[in-house]
Amino acid sequence: MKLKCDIMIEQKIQFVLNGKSVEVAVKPNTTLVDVLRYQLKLTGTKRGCDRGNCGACTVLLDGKSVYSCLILAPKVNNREVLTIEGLGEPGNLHPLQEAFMEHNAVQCGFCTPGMLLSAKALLDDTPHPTKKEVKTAISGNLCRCTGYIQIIEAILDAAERNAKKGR
Amino acid sequence: MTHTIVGKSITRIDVLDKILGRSKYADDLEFPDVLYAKLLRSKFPHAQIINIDTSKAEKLSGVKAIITAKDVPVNTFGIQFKDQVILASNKVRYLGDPVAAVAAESKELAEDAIELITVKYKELPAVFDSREALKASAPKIHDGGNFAAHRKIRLGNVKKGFQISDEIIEDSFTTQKMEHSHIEPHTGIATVDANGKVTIRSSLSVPFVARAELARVLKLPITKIRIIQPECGGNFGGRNEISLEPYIALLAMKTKQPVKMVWSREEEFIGSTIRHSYFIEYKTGVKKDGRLIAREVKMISDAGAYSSYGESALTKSCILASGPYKIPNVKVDGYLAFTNQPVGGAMRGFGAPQVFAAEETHMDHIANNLGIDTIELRLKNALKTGDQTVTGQILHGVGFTKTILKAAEAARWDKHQLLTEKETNTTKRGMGVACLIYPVGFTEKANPSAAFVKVNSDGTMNVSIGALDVGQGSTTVLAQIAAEELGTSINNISIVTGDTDTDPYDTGPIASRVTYATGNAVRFATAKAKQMLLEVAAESLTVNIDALETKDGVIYVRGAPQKCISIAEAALICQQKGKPVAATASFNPPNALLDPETGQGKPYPTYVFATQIAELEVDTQTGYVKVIKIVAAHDVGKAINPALVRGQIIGGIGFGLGQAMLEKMVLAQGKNLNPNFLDYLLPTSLDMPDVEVLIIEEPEPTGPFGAKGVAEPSNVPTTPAIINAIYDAVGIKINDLPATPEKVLKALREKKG
Repeated sequence: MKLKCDIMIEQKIQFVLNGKSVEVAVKPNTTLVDVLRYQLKLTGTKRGCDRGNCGACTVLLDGKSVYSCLILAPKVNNREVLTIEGLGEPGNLHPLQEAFMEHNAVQCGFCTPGMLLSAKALLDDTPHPTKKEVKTAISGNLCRCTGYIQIIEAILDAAERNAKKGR
Repeated sequence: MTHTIVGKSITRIDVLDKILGRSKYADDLEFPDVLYAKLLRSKFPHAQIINIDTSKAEKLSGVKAIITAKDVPVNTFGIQFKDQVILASNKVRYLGDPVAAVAAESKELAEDAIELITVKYKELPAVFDSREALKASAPKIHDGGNFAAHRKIRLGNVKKGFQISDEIIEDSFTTQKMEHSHIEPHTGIATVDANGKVTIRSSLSVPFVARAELARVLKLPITKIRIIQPECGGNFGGRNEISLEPYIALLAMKTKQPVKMVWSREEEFIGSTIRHSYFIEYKTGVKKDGRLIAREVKMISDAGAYSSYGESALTKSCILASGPYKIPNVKVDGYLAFTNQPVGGAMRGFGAPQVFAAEETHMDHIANNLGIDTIELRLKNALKTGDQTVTGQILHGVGFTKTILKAAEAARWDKHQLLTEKETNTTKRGMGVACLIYPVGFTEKANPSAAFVKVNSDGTMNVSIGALDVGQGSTTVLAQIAAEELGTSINNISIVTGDTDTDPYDTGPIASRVTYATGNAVRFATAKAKQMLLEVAAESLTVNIDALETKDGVIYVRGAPQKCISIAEAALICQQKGKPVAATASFNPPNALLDPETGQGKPYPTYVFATQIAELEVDTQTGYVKVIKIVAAHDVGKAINPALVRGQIIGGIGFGLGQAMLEKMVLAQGKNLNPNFLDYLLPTSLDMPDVEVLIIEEPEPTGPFGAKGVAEPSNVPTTPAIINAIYDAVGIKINDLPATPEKVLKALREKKG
């Protein structure tokens, strides 16, 4: 019997993670979410279904939102990844984070990192989205707690704040 | 009475870590030398186990331990009855039944090892329909048969009631099985120290009940078990009893290494508890003017393979079967049946969503038959303050009528005939209403909460509680209650929770009870601590203690605020006098057992009320229903934090919309055919309508600052409001949930003939 665990040879990959270059050795079947969570110890990216249905593992790959559980790690070689850890920090929150905070857009918080990154991808691409565009942009991120409305309000408000700040 | 902190939409105090991705959920925790555990579950829905051979798996390098039934000290568990096994020994009763558990050096190795275990079964005939299961000829799932419980409500004389009724209306209704679908799967890590003390990190919502259950299963004293609750990625009832904890504990005890288990999404569907499916029959006798005279209800709940919370949820279903209405003659019979299917447990609404889906659509049927406006029918029969419930409990603080009137006004119910103006040849509009009565706290049983507070010498206060914030925001609400009671800023309050070794006892964040029960405990403990502070302040200011008030961290003389001393100073004086400020208090909602024959008694301390109105559009070509708007008026007693209350209500509406239109666990021969989020449809952002939340405050005298609860009630009226609106739009009555496009289209075609 061929065991799942003893196949495949590791290879080195290099990519830009949250603005800094990193190098890791990965197996060809390692997913990006596993590299982030277990090898690089960035646990802000969540795992909810492991098959690209829930959106909890959403990160930005070259600025586009992707499900990191569906991305094989070697695929990110020489590319750029942004996770929740790179979005903002205390005292220097991203406008989306500020808006999520103020609009009560967070309950259990498990979908929040993925939700924020999907929202960032939207605003980077479409700075003044309509409500429909916001709903569409986060439709691949499941949230069981909030019913989405306070999240949608937060994203629209963040877009407005960005416009005022001229960002 | 004016409040400075209670009633304000204060930002959640735990939000920063969550938006930064820094909150630690169980799978985010790291332990050196951690092993990964995996369960081998049953291959058949009903079978005898002839033999379990683990020898091949044991030989696999990297496999550290394998456990089967013989390794479990006490191999039974169950929240109400101990009818469930930790690891099956001689029989499996559904496909989720665990047979063996493995701990290995990697997840992949554990999965490989599971595949190497061979189990020899003798398949038994199985039963998958709760009605069939109750027949004498059905295969017996438990030694005692498949009959799990019978609950009754008897009020007045239904026979006579039907005789004097002008009309009798009957309906039958079927509800589906649903998964909690918290996005964080069940996850746990167990460690064992050199003295044999087992520590389990798992975001269980009933840590104290779980700890006692684990002590029993592991045959250890309670002090040898410590449960630490990491951040919780959603509950909704899905973490209301032990799940993976016994396996990781046993494997950690055997290997002396930390053991982690994470359930896959598929396992969540197959092996975790779910919402019971019901068959419900309604019969109501009415007078021509709309007065409800008599009602008879029969329901069968599918327990699945084990009883879990089934009987308790069924009891709630029976109590609520008469709705928020005054009906003099009521007869309710609820039956719980075992089948070879996933186990029904606690899930947001706990027996109410099934019953109200039937009851509130039945009410519309009655109104339509009598030619009375559905809102008028509800107003005519509405429970009011001073009325008795179906169990004979006298109600106080009933804001029900207000919720109907406010919702109707906001939804412009009086103009709802004008909706046709927005219709096209292929889209029809409709509006539907549904109402709710919902209790706060446990059915019949004691469900205490305790709190321990200490005021520090800088005026800050630590509040220890045993109720974890599972996302709803209870930590913020409890901090608001503490700050208001002490008379200080919320920034001076630190809530400490999540550890059974140090937290005071709490029943947990279940049954919509934390604001009410834990809130009371926190308020009472804070009041005791405050009393200690006031005593030294009175002495220091040389005034009578009754003359003192507190605000913004200062104790001052009423009417002479310049005569004051800070809480910090008072706390320091207490400390220096050798009496540091600390206090404990507890609260247990007053309730009592029901009479088993009549169901009469006081099952709950208090009730909340709600009315929701849905407006939607039906595409008559595709059967697709688009919900446009929901107006939700909820009587919550007092909204301690209106933004969080709004969040609970909107989130609940999403839940109710899923039940109405999307979600259903599809089972064939006990096998789940849609155990993932691609085939089991949760509401997405695109499914959500606009929501207008109206908070009605009818203070509850026994609640903290008048508060009751809001978590569960919000999803219950949404489902029937949507079903009623579909009828209003196109004249079809969906009586089998969910109302999928296929079902709507089929009904439309049948109606057309």
